[in-house]
Amino acid sequence: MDPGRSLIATRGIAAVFAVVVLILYGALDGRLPWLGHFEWIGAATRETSQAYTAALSSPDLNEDGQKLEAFLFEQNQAARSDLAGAACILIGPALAMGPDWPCAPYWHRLGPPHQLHDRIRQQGGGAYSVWHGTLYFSTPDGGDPSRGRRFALWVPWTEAASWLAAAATLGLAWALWPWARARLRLVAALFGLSAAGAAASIGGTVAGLAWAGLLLAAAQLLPYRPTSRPARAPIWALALAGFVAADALLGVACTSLGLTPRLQTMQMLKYLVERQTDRPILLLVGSSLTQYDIDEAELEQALEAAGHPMTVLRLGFGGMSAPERLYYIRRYLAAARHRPALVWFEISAYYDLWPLKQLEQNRYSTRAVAAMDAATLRLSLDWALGPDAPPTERWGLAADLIGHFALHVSQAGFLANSVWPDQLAADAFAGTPPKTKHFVDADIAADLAATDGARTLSADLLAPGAALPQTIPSAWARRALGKQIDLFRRAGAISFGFYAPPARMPDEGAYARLFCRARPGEPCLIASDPTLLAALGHDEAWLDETHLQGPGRRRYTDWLAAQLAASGTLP
Amino acid sequence: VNFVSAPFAVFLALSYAGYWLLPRGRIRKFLLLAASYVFYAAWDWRFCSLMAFVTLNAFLAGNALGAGRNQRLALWLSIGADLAMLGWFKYAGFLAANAGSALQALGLPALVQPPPILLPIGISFYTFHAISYVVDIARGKAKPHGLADVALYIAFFPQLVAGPITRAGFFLPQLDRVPRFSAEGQALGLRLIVKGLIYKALIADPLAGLADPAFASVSAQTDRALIEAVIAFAGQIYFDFAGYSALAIGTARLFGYRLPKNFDYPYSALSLTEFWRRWHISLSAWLRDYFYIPLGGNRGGELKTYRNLLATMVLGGFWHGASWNFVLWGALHGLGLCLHKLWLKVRPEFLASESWAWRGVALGLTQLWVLAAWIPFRCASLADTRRVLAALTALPAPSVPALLILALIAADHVIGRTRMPASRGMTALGRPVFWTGLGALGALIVASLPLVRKAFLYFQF
Repeated sequence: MDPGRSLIATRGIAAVFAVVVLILYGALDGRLPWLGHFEWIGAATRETSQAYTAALSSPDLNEDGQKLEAFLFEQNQAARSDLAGAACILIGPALAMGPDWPCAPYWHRLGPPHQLHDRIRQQGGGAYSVWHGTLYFSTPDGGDPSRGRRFALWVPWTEAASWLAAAATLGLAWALWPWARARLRLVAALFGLSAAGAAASIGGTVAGLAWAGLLLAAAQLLPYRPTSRPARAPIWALALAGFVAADALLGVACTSLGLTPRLQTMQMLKYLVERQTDRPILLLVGSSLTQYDIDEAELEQALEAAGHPMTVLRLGFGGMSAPERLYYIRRYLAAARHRPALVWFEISAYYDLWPLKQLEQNRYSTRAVAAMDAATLRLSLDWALGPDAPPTERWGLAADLIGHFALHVSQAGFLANSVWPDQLAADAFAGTPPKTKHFVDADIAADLAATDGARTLSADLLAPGAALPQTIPSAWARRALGKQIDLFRRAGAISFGFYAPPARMPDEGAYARLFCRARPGEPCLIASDPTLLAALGHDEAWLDETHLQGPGRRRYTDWLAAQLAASGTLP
Repeated sequence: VNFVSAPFAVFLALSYAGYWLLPRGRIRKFLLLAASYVFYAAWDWRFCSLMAFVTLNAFLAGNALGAGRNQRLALWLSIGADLAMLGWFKYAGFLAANAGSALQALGLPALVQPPPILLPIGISFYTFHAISYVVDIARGKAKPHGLADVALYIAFFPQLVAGPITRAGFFLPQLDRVPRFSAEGQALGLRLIVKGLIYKALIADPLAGLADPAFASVSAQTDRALIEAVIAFAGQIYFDFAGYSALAIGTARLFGYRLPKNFDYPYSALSLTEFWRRWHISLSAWLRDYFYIPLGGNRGGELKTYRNLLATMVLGGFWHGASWNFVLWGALHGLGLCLHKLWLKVRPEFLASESWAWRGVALGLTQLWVLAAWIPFRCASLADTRRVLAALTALPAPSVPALLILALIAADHVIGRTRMPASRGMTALGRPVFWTGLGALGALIVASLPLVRKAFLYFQF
């Protein structure tokens, strides 16, 4: 035969063989039926009434921490008496995977596999697991496995199958190379498509790598012809147009697909938006103080007991200052199934006096970028360029804010850090983290007393180099609050109020008093009740220096419910 | 300092706009020099003085060499000062720790305590630039230049912290010309930047997410997980460093300067000799020209050639960091190079063919050696190295992610070496399609960048 034809024939045969191997490998979930070995189960020992154990040949057979793909089969008596049955014993139970396989009548597949031992003991029915070289199993009918019955564990050689699949892939590449060489664009497109398929089926890091491969192929395959002719259009304008157009399309695609940044704050938002209720909603807006110090369910129960059946929701998360809150308030009001009738705002010197502290500490984080839309930028710049920010930091801070905004607008990191809507869990963050810090009761009592007695503010909570605002709340804090109240009012809220959670920082106490004094006629609850403070003067009431937990959280929530009920603002 | 960050993007945009808006002439070079020092100061301003000292040392020695005064003395004083500084900052702690251990092993009190020294970022690169400057002048391959030119050559920010190591004879002549803004240069630069961004942020960093946890707890991993981690690391270090190099070369191109090629698809090498012509080309060429050849190279018999090869590669390993792991890595490559040279001498004639099968075997053996050598390079201890090597010899089947990483490397090597010409229909629209396409690709890359990034691996060397 002509050597050229011979090579073509060889490549053709290799391609067909490789494709068969790969199809089988894919269809059988990473196994090839003829690759494996079976272990006959010898003497089985009864463990409980339904559970038996049998030693296997190797302690490496183990599904502790990994899912071992082994299959337990019971052999039909006929297998030993007819020719086909004998052949099926010879081949092993691999060809009895499905009901249509030729050996299916001779082998009965047991299951479910990978079961907890307790489940095998309690329910039996063929459940089994493989544990450090021991088969832990039950029979389908609960009968003794050693009385005239034979069992076999089929252990596929998944590793050998993987090697074979890898070899088949290489063989296919070799077989197709002369054809592919002349069609690199098509090959790149096929590679991209298969990478996208792998991405869709596997997800996670591998999906990201596949996507990167696709972009790499696109970058390399951009048509380009070096020329000495001058450019007709400004090259940067063309590039910018491409960027803007792709960005806009991406934005539309992401919005229509419902992609959401993978953030806990988004989980909180999803919970708020999806909460179903037929009662009026009381929304508490704040930060980690609102998140940790108030028990939503307890507050609802206490209000109901006081004759005010309401649904309590919290729009508050650790590190959430007014500019970020504004972003989540707008998103909540735009999508909420039920809007709040009453809105109470947390009072916090920490967030009002240095509202961009968290952003400065988490610059260019997914969360900081996600919330930096035009409205958040305006409010943030208002503070950064205003009199309350440190003069030396102003322009650097402003540049940083604009940088965050630019990343937000260009959807930087959006594909890498987003999830599908059904992958984002709605979470009310009802609990508190484990307590790791401990305090002396007397110190807590002294802190609480100092906070309760404080009337003047120090500069401790300010950004370095900043001066205390001339008024409390500052002009900026009033504007920030005004924007939030406006949004709620337009969404139908009828009543507003303020609360200052218990603090162990004199500046917080002083700030709360000055704040409430500046808003006469509006309900304002400061946790200065001596009975409450006495109850909070214990280590178990505090999660850390700032937040409550356990009994402290419950006591404050009950106190807050009583105060809210007494405020006369609740329906 | 990180090329894949918003502050760097702002810094680059400002430097770029300022550079091309300024009138042609020396002022542009001064702007680049100032920008380079600002770039370095962003990491730690105190070490700018160190770089300035290296620059001054090279400049004075270069002038002395150019004037023909005390040439030998000037050359060795300058090189000695550079190496002493590099040795102090990079190796003093390592040598003191080892001396302490040796004394303890002999039952003597550890008199030598490792000094607490902060390793200045990029010191290995800019001291090599300085050495290259004086050696190239001494060899007549470069001419002495003014202080600003020397300073810019040593501090030029695209190549300052992780190379490519640029020869004086390659870069200084470019400073004698006035760079012109050309669409072609910008296109090449941007294309490299796009490629570098994909390599670094979209491939190397996620691969680090696969490799790092496994290498952090080697004893707790299965053989299969360890092999996956080694393959992930092989991919990570290539995409990370080649990505950085592409970003550096592309950035320099935006300013009208060329930097030498640093990577040429090394995982397609059919021998270790070829591998070192494709991997960190600027370092291997530097070591060849400034160490291996002066040491005797392959003149003087086989044994001396092997000795020189081993010494060069061990030095190359040690250059990467003050640790026995790097020394072992260098030694393994040195040994591999010697074995390859020996093989070329003793192989039967019929095995010298260029057949597909033989090339496949050569590729497999070479890359397996490279893969095995990455193990000591990455492992935190020799015990971990032994454990991972044992996993490699157990030959577990590759996992799906490991196969995908190999496929990605293969795809990169195949597609990356193919320049796609514009098809006929695109000829008229070629340039607009290219530029708008590049912009669109930029948008997709920006959207795909994880906002939390890892530093480039080679910044630590």
